[in-house]
Amino acid sequence: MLAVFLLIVWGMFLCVLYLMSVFVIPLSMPYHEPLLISIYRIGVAFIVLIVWVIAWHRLAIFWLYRILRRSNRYGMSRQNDSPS
Amino acid sequence: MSATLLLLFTSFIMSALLSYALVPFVKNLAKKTGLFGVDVHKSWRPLIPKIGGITIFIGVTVSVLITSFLFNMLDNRVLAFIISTELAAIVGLWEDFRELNPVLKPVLLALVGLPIVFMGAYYPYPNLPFVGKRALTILYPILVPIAFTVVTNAVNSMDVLNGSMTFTSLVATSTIFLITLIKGNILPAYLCAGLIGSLMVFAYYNKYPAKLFPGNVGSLYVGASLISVAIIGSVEIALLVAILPQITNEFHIIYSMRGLRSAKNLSERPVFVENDMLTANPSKKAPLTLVRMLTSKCSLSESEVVKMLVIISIFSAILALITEFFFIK
Repeated sequence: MLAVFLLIVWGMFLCVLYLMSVFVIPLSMPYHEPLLISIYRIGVAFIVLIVWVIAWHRLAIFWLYRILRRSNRYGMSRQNDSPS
Repeated sequence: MSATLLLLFTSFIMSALLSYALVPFVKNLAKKTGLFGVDVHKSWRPLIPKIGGITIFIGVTVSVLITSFLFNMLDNRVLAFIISTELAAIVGLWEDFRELNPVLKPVLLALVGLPIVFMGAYYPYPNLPFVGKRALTILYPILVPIAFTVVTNAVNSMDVLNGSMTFTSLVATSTIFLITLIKGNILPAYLCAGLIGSLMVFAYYNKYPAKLFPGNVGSLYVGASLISVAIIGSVEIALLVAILPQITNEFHIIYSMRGLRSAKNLSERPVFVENDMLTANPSKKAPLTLVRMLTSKCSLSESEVVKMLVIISIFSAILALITEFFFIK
């Protein structure tokens, strides 16, 4: 199951890299763009990256609590000192 | 061809032997300085020397220095690798002695990447999936310190169980070794060979039940080595894919803890231990980690979890190979 999750994260990573390239690569071109457009390009690329992180984190939370709900352990709380 | 094989073999054997020879010294040093960690996943809670990573960083550094002199390979890239990774080891050692501020640590780890930038040990034309080689002469030096922080912290976040960081890093290092070797890029392959040698020896002492912990000195050194080699060898994307499990683990922790906070301030832990078995903490307040995800279905022993982490790392390594050879022009 975690392999499927990784496969999704990987697929999303490739898409995100492509989108970021589309937004950021024009910055390295020899012609000069207005500064505002350059800042906008970096901002959009950064937002794409943040959305990617939030997307797979939400996906992982959804997946984890679905499993915990099935095993009837959801919402229980116990204290311990494991760092993992 | 034979000279290349001899270089790789010498680097591998020398770092392995040096690391092996250093183990008693590190155990004594830990005794003298009182640097022990409690192995919390065992019912008998043994005290384990927690600066075992010193064997990796001295082993690799000395081996790289000697072999690069012997084979006439010493250049700015090798020196940048040595300086950056040593700085990461110093940050790690500092944290092993005294816990660092959770905001200061990523800043220091970003600074660790600066020797790579200032010594010009990078190639600012990365090969990107679908779009190919692109000139990022201004952006690339800015991305290097960020990459150092992300990768070193990601590897560090995996150091939670006996052998978890060591074995998963061995898989990632072997992947980068294979890719650079296939591409005929000998320098990064030889740096990887040294790291593999030390990690293999250390894995023997760190496997369940651990006799040595890598500590922050070990995990930050290994993370810095991996990103340095990836930058020097222009295989950054492959490395990021190979360590996707570590990266997802790192961001899950940061996101669940709502920012950079010390793990010691957690109100609830991700897993609980009962009869030497790990079970996911079902509380909503517990942070999300890979180990918690793995133990959510059923309780697992520590060595079973590490085996699963290694399987996931091998899966990521295959994805890294696919990315490098099928998606990058």
